[in-house]
Amino acid sequence: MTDPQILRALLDRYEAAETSVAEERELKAMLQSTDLPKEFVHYRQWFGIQAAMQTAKSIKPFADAPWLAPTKNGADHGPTPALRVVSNRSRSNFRYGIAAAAMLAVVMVAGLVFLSQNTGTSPGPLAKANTETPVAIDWSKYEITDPKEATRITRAALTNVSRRIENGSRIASKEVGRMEPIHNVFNSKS
Amino acid sequence: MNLKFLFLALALFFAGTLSAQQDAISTYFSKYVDDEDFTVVYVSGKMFDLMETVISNLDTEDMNSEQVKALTDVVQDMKSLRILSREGDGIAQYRSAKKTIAGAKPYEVLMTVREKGSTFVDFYIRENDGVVDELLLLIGESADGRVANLLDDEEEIDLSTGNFTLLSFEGRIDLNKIGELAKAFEDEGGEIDLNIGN
Repeated sequence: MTDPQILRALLDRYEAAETSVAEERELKAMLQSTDLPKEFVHYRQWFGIQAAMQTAKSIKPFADAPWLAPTKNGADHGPTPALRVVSNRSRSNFRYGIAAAAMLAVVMVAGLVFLSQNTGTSPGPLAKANTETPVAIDWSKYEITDPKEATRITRAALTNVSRRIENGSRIASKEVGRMEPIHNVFNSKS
Repeated sequence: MNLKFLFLALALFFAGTLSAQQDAISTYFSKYVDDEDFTVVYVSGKMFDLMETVISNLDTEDMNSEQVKALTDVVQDMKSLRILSREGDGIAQYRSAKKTIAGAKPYEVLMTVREKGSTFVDFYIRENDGVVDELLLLIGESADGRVANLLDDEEEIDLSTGNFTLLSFEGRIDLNKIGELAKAFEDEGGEIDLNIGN
């Protein structure tokens, strides 16, 4: 039972800023008690007790999980709504599944890259060349800025390329031509 | 949160893998661009846009209409030309470049030719969705012409002589148009003079 006289005295001291921490704790406990006289109820707002108590009242205990609430006489709650729990678990499993698939993809790609680098035509020096860090080149330093000069060089480069491709093709067709008699021999035998 | 990190790591991994493959030639260029023994030339995409006008305005005595058309047809689809050239060490440099390029995954050998026993020429292409978007030409020359078989008989080779040239054409490369160009300019030698301003 809250003593109104003690409570009044504590409130006076609190208003005069003379209470100790222990007294304030005691004051708060008194204001929170259910048998608080009506004339002191409005003091609850000093400590935010009113709002907290109203919030607590609005929250129904075991509202989200009524099957966990204690029952009188140990009565059965009826069917246990296990749906929510299963749903959380399946979402979690889905996330783990995606993570596992992504990890698997990383490992597979890493494996493919590793294999492709090791099945090249000349592995030793190639691997060394491929692992060098590319350095950004400032091509503007080497850029031809005179259109006529650029045209002259491009023309020469393209002519060089086209001539060499033609030459290579000519050599190839010449060699294929040499194969013709051998081809004929095989054809005549068959 | 963890998933986001995972997907980010995955994206970075893929991006890193792709860029590592595509930059094999850039890596090779970057090793030598600052070496004074090498001549480096770069023609940008913007210059190729200007070049179409320059070619159309050239004197008719310099090129006939067939040559102008053949050259314009090739140039209009090009985005860049990079040249790395060196006098001396032609064969040694050629071998080093060949090792690098042959191992760069996106590049495929188009043709390998040995001319006159002393000049080695390799063509490589990089394709994307069936379109050739880079053509590489690798040339290694031995000046003394004594190279009988480069790969089997290294003692006979004077590696300090000859020239090395690496050409990289980027853009939409149509090999048929290159063939037309060869026909149009069949009387010209096609030697590349890299002395700027001549």
